[in-house]
Amino acid sequence: MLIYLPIAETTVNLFHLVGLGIVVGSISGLFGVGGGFLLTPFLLIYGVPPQVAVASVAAQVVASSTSGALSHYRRRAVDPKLGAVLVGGGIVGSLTGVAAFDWLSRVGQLDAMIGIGYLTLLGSIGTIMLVETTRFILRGNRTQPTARRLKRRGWIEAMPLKVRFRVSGLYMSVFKVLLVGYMIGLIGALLGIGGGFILVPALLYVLRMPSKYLVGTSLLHLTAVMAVTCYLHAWRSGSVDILLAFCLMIGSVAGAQIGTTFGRRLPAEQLRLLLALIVLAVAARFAVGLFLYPGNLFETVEIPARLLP
Amino acid sequence: MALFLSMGVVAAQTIELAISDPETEIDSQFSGEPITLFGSISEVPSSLNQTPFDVVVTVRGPVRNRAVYRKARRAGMFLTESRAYYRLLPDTYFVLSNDAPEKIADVSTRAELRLAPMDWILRARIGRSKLPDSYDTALHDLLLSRGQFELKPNAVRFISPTFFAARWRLPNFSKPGVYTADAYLFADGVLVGRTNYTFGVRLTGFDLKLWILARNQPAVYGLLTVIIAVTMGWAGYAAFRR
Repeated sequence: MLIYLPIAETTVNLFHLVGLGIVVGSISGLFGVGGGFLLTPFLLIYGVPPQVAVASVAAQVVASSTSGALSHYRRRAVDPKLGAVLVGGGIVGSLTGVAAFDWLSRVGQLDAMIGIGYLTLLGSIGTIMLVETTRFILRGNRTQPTARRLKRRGWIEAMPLKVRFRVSGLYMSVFKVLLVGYMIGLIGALLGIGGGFILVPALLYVLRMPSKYLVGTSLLHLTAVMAVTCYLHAWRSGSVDILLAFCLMIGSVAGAQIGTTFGRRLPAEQLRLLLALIVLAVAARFAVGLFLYPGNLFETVEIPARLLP
Repeated sequence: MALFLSMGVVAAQTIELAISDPETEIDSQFSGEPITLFGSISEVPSSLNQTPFDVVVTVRGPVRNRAVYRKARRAGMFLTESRAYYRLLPDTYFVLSNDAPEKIADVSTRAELRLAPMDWILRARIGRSKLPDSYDTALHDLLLSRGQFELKPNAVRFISPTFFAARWRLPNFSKPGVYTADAYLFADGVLVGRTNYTFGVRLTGFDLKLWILARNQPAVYGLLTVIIAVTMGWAGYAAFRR
């Protein structure tokens, strides 16, 4: 069934969109990630303009992560206090990131930055997670593989205003949490993703959050930060296609529940191993895009008048 | 709103045009639409009575700005090395004729009338020489391969010696806005008449309401988007909660 999208100004198959939403929503609920990294390339293949694809995916991520976050909250798998502080940093980071995104678009280095940024971040995070988790599984250890081997950085640990986050049993500086939230918001807005891929490992390795609260807290952060990003896109350029986002949401909210249910049955270390593999697969996709001959060296996109020289 | 209104028929000395659907409406079910433009040749001078006519019709869609990126290998990676910009290039462009345009008119006439897609690319590009370069050629080929530009040398049929029909299909990615059809009448390679006709392609129903809201009240549109997203997320959670 074909449907015309008034903002994207193209026709797409409704069932494809819903199916895509289910797959991405499942991944979102399972790992606490947004899934924008998977969805956006598919929409571009469909002929949806890049700015509409990125903005509409932000709306879809809000829906799927709301659904997932509520499920985790109900199971008491969210640390609301730590999540709120993260969101505070994340929103500021997102605002900075959107401004930096515009600047990089103007100077013409956005594509390179996105490609290298994805590859470096996801490649290194994926490798660390894979090595840590595999080692943990092989040892049959019962304790979670937090970053015991990571050296404590003096200046980070010495940050003032230490707060106790009772739910996750952590005691640390509020600035440390804000900094992590800010960095994720900044990177997320710059790379056009929610940042869940980076946030989950950051919560685990930098904040040393217990596995139980990782996904739920990450989804809470994603919901809030992507809601701000989505609003900014809609307000600044009207580039969110509600119809497109709605079709994706139908599939993804259902998918998020499926993912959450599966996530409950899988041991935490297996989840981390799977996430590591997916992160590495995405990194590999960007490596292919960066290192292999693209077939046609030229590409054309429609751009708003403000980006003309 | 004026953007979407049909502009009506413009009569010329020797050709009059009429369209099968003066105002094409795009709703949620839009998947492209066949369009026929009819042309009637009148006031034919007696000197041309026995000469067969040739017709070229060009149809231009609403204009958009474009960038063309060129990648190059740097440090082993294919990165965007440079780019070219094009201002107000027609988003779609169709060249319909009863024969190949190069058989109908000579190079200078075709260039003067801007019959070829490349003529519009050269006109739209920002800040370079007047000859096509690799960016222009790449853009031309990309838009042709995507079906945004199309050359249809058999799309014009003469129903009688002085009455023709030009048929093409508005693609499913058509942009709403004003479309312009230019018709050129040739006899023995000489331009003997020309006219143009504008028609509207407009959104309708729910699609139109969304479009207007997004353009005119972006703050409300943004808020609505977020509310819908959160509500959908909550609904999904509530529906699957046991």
